[in-house]
Amino acid sequence: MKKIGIYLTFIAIGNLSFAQLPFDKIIEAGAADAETYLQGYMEPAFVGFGLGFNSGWYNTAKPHKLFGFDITAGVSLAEIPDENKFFTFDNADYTSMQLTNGNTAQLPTFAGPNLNADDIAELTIPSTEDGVPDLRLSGITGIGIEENDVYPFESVFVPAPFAQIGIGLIKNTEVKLRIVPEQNIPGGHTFNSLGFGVMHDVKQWIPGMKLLPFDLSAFFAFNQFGSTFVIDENAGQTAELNLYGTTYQAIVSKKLAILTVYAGVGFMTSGSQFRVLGDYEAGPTVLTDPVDFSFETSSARANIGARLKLLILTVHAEYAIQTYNTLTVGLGVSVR
Amino acid sequence: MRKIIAFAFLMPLLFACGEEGLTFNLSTDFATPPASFNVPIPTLPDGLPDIGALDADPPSESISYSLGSVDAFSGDLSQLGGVLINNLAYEISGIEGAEQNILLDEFSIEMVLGSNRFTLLSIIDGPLANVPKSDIQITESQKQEISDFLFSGQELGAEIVFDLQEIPTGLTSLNMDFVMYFDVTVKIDRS
Repeated sequence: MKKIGIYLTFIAIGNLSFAQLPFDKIIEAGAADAETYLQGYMEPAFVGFGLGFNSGWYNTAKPHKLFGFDITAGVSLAEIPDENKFFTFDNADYTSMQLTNGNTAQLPTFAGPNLNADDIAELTIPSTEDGVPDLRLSGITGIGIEENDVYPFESVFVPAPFAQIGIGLIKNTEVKLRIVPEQNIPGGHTFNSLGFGVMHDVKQWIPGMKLLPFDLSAFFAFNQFGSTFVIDENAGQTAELNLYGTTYQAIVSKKLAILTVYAGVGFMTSGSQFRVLGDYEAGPTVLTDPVDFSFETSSARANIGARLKLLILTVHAEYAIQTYNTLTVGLGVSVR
Repeated sequence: MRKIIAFAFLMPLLFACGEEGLTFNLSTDFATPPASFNVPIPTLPDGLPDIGALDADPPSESISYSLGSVDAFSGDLSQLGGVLINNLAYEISGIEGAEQNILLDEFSIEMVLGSNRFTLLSIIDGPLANVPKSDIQITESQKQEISDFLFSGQELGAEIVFDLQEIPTGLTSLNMDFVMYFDVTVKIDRS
């Protein structure tokens, strides 16, 4: 189960230290309880990744001219709110594992502070074997990323990188593609991503608006990310993370010499599913496909940003207000 | 592009993690295998007058405990960051019938930490009786001594002595079991 930690990290925040967290102990509580605990612990990672992954689609409301194009890459950083640094452990939600003292407690999520184990509520995992005593385990600490001296931010961000191509079509319409064919990572792990977006100038259809000195477009995008991680090839143990997201936005922008300022308002949805597949020993029992949980998020979304264009080079940054506010930075080349 | 994406994913690794490190506590209240006291009581030869009582102290028994003997800990001891003794307890069982009429001069548990020994529990006088799981009152300094000894990877011993008063004649044997409980927390540091 330690390798599940590696995978969680890789797909969620790339933080290999997760492999050192005691998920292998939590699984002793059985699949259902381990899943419930992991869900609470990992929610900010998956939600944050989903929200970041839905961001950065555009940096102007003006679609490319016919066959104009851009190639843009960047990273979106979803800021995890303070209230998501802990989750509520409620005994009623668990069938086996319980708090040693009390019925509810606040336990750190992965984004929570890095606490001494003595400062985290203790859980009791009842033994299922005669003669074997119950196991007591301190709740899992947060990573405490922002406590590190070299970490430059005061908040915890979940990064989601992106790379995309935008191509101008007829009628002031632009399509955007995010395609990462399946990538094989040493160890047999893979990931891929596929997304498309459509931006269409709506000003042209509204009488009298065509002459106004700004651009106005409607935007829709769908995005998916899939990944697999081989936990133990010989034992047939794997894990999967799949994410999807949709974005609906109205975008307005104004070009001022080399600077374009833009803003958008709309709605987004995001979902993720995490599964651990295969057979796993937990004490005297074998758990099959022990983890399968998903998150759904939907949120109003408003963003504001600016783009600098020097000849064909572009640099842009934006801030989006949504479930987890998201900062995006990117650079690219843009022609026509 | 693949390298850029991989770098972006791995970027937070540079910042992990906070100063407490990745530590967690594992605790369990481990019961030692029972130490069995089985004492045959000699019968008086025919023709001798009944003397009413016999001396027959059982020999002392020892139990041992080390962190490695606890399955729940064994996989993590290479990353041991500390040991904490939460509680020690004992239990006596198997005393039945006329055995309950025996009186104790003393019952004692001696902790053996290598060459260092100290008395954990000493009960003077009183009846020999079954004792449900009962805490042993130990001082903080004794806890610390035991913790340090276990942290060093060594196996401790506990010597159990039943010093009985005279055993009423008519008993053919004395049988009882002694179990000691070690409620211990190990601090695991996977940083």
